[in-house]
Amino acid sequence: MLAALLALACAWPGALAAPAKAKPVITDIDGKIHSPFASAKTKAVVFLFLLRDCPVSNVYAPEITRIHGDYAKKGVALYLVHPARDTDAKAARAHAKEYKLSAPIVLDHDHKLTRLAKVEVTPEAAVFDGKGRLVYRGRIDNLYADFGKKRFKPTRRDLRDTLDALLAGKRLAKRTTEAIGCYIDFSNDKKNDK
Amino acid sequence: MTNKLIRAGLALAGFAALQSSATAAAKAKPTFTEDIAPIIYNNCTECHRDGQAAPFTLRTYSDVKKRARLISKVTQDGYMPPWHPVEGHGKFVDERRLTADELATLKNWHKSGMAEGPADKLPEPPQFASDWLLGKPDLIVQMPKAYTVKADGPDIYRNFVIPLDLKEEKWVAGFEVRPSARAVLHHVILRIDQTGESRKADGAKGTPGFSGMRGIGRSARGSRRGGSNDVFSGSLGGLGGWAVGGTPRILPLGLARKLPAGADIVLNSHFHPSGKEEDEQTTIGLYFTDKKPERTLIGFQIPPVFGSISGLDIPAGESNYELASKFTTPVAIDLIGVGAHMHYIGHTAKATATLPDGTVKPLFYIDDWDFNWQGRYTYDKPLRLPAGTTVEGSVTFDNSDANPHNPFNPPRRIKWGLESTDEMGSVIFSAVPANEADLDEFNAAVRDHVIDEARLMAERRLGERAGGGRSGRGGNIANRLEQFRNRRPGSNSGSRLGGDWRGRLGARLKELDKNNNGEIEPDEIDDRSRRTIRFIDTNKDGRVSKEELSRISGR
Repeated sequence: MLAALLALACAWPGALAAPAKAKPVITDIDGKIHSPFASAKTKAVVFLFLLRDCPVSNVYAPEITRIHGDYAKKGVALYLVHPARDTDAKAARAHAKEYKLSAPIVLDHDHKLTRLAKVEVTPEAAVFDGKGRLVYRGRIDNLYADFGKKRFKPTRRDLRDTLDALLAGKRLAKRTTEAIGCYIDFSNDKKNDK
Repeated sequence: MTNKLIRAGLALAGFAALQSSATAAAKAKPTFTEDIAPIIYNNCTECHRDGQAAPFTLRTYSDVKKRARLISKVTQDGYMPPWHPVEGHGKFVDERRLTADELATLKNWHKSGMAEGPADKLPEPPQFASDWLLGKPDLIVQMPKAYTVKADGPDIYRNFVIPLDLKEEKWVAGFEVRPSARAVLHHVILRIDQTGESRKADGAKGTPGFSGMRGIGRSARGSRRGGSNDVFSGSLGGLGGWAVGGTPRILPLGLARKLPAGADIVLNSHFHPSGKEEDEQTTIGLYFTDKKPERTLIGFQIPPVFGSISGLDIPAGESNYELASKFTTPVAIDLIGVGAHMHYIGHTAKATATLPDGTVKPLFYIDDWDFNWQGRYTYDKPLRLPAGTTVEGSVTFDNSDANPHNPFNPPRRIKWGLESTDEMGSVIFSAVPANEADLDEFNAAVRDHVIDEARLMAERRLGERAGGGRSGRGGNIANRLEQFRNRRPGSNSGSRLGGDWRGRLGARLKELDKNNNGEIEPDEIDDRSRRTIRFIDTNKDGRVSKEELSRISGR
């Protein structure tokens, strides 16, 4: 478990610094090792940041699972990332079962991945293209116009649109949107984490 | 029950005292124990604790610290604590507002790094002694079957019947709503149905409950005119409402709402899907008075007219559509409470009173309506309006695509209707005549206001039909809007209705009287007229009697 975390922590920064050469390794809470960029079939890698006790993040659970189902077979690797220190593997597993989440789960207690993607809110998505370039960071869709202002249904589906464009072979410039939800707590990070 | 109520009252009074002492000037570097805990304990913990509706607990330093940024943001935005009436428009019990100092303190604490402070300064965390905030209820009832709320999708509005089969009438002074799935049940309005229609509709399509507002608010045939369960009294047969965070309260002045023998409670429930499937089986605790109250609570609403006859017809894209009306009370009354009812595209609701001496009193204002929060607000003390006071109420709607609550994208024309994607709108008051002896006169005035407005609308519709054939939809909308905007409602008498409206309405009604006996029997009412007839058939026996007809043509 600890080794897995270390593997993740060590593998990523290098991977992003030199995306074309590195073979980043992601270890999920079941100890399974994923090397999404190793495969030429990978068109995109998505990290979706969640908090177990964030109601907005939980509202998105069914849509996240639909996205996983719709895109996993098309070459999109999707990982659910828990940045909260009080979420251990057991808690994350129970939460996934409760909300029927299907994608592999990664813990990011030291926020290396969170900071790398510059994510501050849950739920928030970070999308990397097959070469490891961050092409999108922000909301899944615009279901929420603001706190408490929920639309009937979203009128923009930013994450799906980004993935569709990548799958269509488009080269994307980096785009960000504002995600509505709960802020990730960085206050316990050690100075040298930052 | 009385003792429990007094104890609950004392506890709440103690709470209020704590709150007022918490407003010290905002420090640049506040600490949790000294500055933040008192704010959180007094304003947040009641809901943000285990077993309550709010999504997470706010009690300990670590609970609050990890959400400091969120707390700072949502309090600055006014999203939390949830409180929607605009300050300066009525003073209400249980107001949940943070002072400017408290807001600044929360913000500064986040900015300055969330210090914990000396442990011995931490105030005693609030104690919530009983499950039931008002003590043990006199009657506890529950939805017979749980309703499964799906994991996601749009919000759900659904009605559930709780059959009571009470052998005798009861007087309800208060109630508490206890959801089983607190994350999904957002608000409930308790209605009363004496017709049995809701009972028939509930579960008829296989799943518990039914949609829409069928049968709700109609009193049984022959029930006493002007009872608080009378639809004409404007209360729509309700006991009141509850929304997340709402504190159950006993009505002031010894007041109570009538729960007739044999009536069913109908929960009009609003659910937010939470991301996982949840079963809701709501429990209600009812608190009764020992006897019929000495004073009678009357509901009235402005604008008063419900039904397609209200003329509510909002063009797609219209961002500021207004419905307004005035009501002059012929007797002195005490306002007890106020609320508004609109659906998704409701935008503002406002009411003011103009006293006979010309003094203008703001009564109620919501400047950013949110269908999720249909609170009923109780004035901190009953608000006396002298005889001759005119209460003006107006509601506005935003049917543009800039309104995120708009259920349609692109926007569509929205008309009056019972489903949540239709619209309706009123400011709703509950009041008692200052002298119980004036009850009948007040009731009659409330009823006349409804009938008057209904006639005005009926006239408008009939006029359109006569003039523009069946076109009444497209081309006439602009004119109708103009009429709404420019309308300057006068007194409550029928004099507002210009032209020969009586003649035309009379002629139309006469056409219906196929057997020419001077009455309109149920089988003579065609579908097209049914809605209009409902407002002419004042005793609601399903027919229009000679007397009811003469009231139309002679008054």
